[in-house]
Amino acid sequence: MILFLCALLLVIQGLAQPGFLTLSQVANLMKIAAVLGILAIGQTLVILSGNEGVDLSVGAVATFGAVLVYNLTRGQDDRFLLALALSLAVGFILGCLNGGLVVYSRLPPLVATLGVGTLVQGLIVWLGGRERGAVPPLLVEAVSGTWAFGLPGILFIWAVLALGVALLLHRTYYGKALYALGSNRRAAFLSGVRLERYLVLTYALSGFFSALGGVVLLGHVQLMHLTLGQAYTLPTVVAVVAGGTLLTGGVGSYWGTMAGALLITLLQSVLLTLRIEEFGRQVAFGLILLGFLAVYGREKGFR
Amino acid sequence: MVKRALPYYAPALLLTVLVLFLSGGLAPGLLDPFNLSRLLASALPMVFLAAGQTLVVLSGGIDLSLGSLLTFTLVVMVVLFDGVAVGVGLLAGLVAGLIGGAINGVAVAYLRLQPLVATFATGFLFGGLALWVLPRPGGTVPPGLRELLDPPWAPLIPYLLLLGVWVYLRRRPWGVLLYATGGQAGAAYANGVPVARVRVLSYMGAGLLAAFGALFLLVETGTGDPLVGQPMLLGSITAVVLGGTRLSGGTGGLEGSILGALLLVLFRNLVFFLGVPSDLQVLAEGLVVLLALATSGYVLRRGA
Repeated sequence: MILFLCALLLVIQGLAQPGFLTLSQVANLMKIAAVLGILAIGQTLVILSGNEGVDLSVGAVATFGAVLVYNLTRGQDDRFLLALALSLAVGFILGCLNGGLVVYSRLPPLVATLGVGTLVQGLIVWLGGRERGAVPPLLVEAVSGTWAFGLPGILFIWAVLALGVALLLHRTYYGKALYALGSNRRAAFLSGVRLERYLVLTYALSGFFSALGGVVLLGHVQLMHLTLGQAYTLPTVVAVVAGGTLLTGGVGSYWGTMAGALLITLLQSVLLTLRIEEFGRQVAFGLILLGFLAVYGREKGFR
Repeated sequence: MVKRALPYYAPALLLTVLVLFLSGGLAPGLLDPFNLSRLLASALPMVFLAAGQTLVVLSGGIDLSLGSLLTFTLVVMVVLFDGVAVGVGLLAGLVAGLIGGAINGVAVAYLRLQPLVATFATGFLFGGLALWVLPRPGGTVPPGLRELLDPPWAPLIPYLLLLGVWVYLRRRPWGVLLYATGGQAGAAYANGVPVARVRVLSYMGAGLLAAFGALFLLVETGTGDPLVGQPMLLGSITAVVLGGTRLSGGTGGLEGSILGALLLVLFRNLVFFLGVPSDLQVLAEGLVVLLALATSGYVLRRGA
């Protein structure tokens, strides 16, 4: 269904803006979808873990990851790998904080991650407030430069990451444990899955991929500002939900999320082409999310 | 009858008194009647927003759209204040709050969408509509309304009214049904509680209280802003948790959330008074909120 919707939007876009369906335009659209798709990796894992799991710190952690790379490298390539490693480690640790709050303080994931997001925003204002740094050319080249077949590097990064996530979900013990946790936590526990460890790991991975997504985003927009990734938090949730992953957990895949990311990017592009302003885009987003929820995620009634 | 247990909001009350004295010790001017009255006035928007959130949480849900709904009612009021009349603006704002709440309630209770995500989505609806009504900050509040809370005793009145209405309603059938629905919806339904209707009413109540919050925010700031409410959402949930209401629903009440909201505002003032540099203030506040959430979740679950 989602691919059908994508095709429909493509046709609308093609009609509204003749000459849209060229290779470079489509590649451009794919680039934007790739950024969203990479940022939605962590969100997919967290939502799969069930029990109203959701990570609302994705945008803030992504921005923080980008700030670290921006400030630490100051545009120098030889420091890039070190800065990247540090940024990913920090993302992982912030994810652990999320996971710890959810598992040990038993906060609803939404509240915990919203709180951590606020905290991280504070860190960003504190560390990034003094703008000094630059985007290393290596990163720009890796993300926006052409690798092969005239396609930008970010698409290859996305493809590799997608394969990795698919392997993680479907070929490892962790993946099996995650699906088990999501579909029936108690049964998973009774079958010997170490709930706490895998839940914290899931949130930690979400932080890790969010930071990675933030760095990729930095390479894509090539500018740093203090709310770089924040606008992506909601779309990652929508992408996952639109991709057919149930918010109750346990059912879904990253392939669905990728299709969801494409759908949202197309939708945004259509709304832009039709000259719909910010308020219209927000309203449209809200309505679409509600629509998908009504299709996939209704709770049982009492009768 | 056995010895009565402490009320659920005892820890919050203790903490509030403690922080109040701590603030008084660190900044003696803070506790004189004038400053105290200003403090109470400035806490009103958060208090009413948290009160609305409490109604929804008690019924077993959560409302993530409440910040945006506050914004929406606020811009509706401001636009009508400027163009039409104060009375019309007030009425329209309150009605907008009720309608927004009704939309949430129907989505959750009748369409049976998960409260968390459904209200997340409607939040974007309300936020978008607010931007449509008032694309950029502006508008003025008529002077008569701005001076509403100027007398030193005036800020007390909304608190007393809120508490009075709550204490009255809690003992009525409606209050009992609210707690029953939040405690165990299935059992309540089997016993003839109109669960869906109670849920819709609780969301509508939350919308109405958010609209009052918007009104007090307007009195405080004197101008409209289409993005002012969204950052208050986390605060409203934090206040509920701090006040001893459990997010799983069915236990707690408004008294605790009022204290929780006051605590948040006191903390903020304290951070300001201690002269924390401005680029660290967001961080300090985030830290305090997170710490409060983490520990209260921990302590309450252990205790209960």
